[in-house]
Amino acid sequence: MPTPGKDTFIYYGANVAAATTELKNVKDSNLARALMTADTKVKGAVVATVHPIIHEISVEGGILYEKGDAGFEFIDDAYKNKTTVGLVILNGPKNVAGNRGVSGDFYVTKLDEGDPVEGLVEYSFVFQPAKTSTAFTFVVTVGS
Amino acid sequence: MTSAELALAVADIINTAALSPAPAAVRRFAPIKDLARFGSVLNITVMPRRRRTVPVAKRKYQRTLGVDVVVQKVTEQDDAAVEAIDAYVDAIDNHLRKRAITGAIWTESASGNDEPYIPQHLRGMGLYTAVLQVDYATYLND
Repeated sequence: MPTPGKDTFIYYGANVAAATTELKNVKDSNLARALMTADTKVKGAVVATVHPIIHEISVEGGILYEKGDAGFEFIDDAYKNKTTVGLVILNGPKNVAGNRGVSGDFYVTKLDEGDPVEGLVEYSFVFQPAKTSTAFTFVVTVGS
Repeated sequence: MTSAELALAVADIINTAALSPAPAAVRRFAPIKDLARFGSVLNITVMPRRRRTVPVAKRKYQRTLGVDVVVQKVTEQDDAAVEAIDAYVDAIDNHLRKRAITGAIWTESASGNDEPYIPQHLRGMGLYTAVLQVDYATYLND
């Protein structure tokens, strides 16, 4: 059975270990995963070749604004104070084995407010990995 | 909030409008059919109409609840009376747009058919019938 996008999860907390609370008002989100590469093509090659250097990760999406929503306030505070948030981003609940995603400390590098006349106030966000003592990790849940 | 509760709340709000004649909206689940029951007064019926639920966030759903506000009066072919009730329906529409309902957000209103009233009722029975469809959004969390 395919996984509906609404059944994916973003957990947040002050750090990765504490990232156990779900960011519930998230709308569409996108876990952008790329690989920065070095150009290794040589003269006379029949195809352009590359060598992997480092992963490039960012999380983009939207979150509905709701007064008093602790998740939004946490993200908003992190943006305003330029502090990190611990995130675990999974394509299923964390207590079910086999779900995949990433975990690490992130900065909120964008938090745009959109105010559509015929819609709901929504913030579009971008989270990018922060350089902290916590290792960025690709995660596969083991269940609980 | 259920459709029936919304219809009741909408009827209550209509009845707070400063209009002449003073509105006396009633929630019903079916419109009045018997022409003899209309008398000479303005009848306002609020009925639940539709319900649609869609996800708006991963753990949040928007449930659109619609009501039909049916305004009816025997006018025969009195154009001035028709015009007056037409303006009355506009005033109800404006009133609902501006008045908040706890737990529901006004999203849109429209007439139930192409014309602002049902021409067949007017031609066939001398009955002015306007159906104002009003939608409200409610929100549910998982």
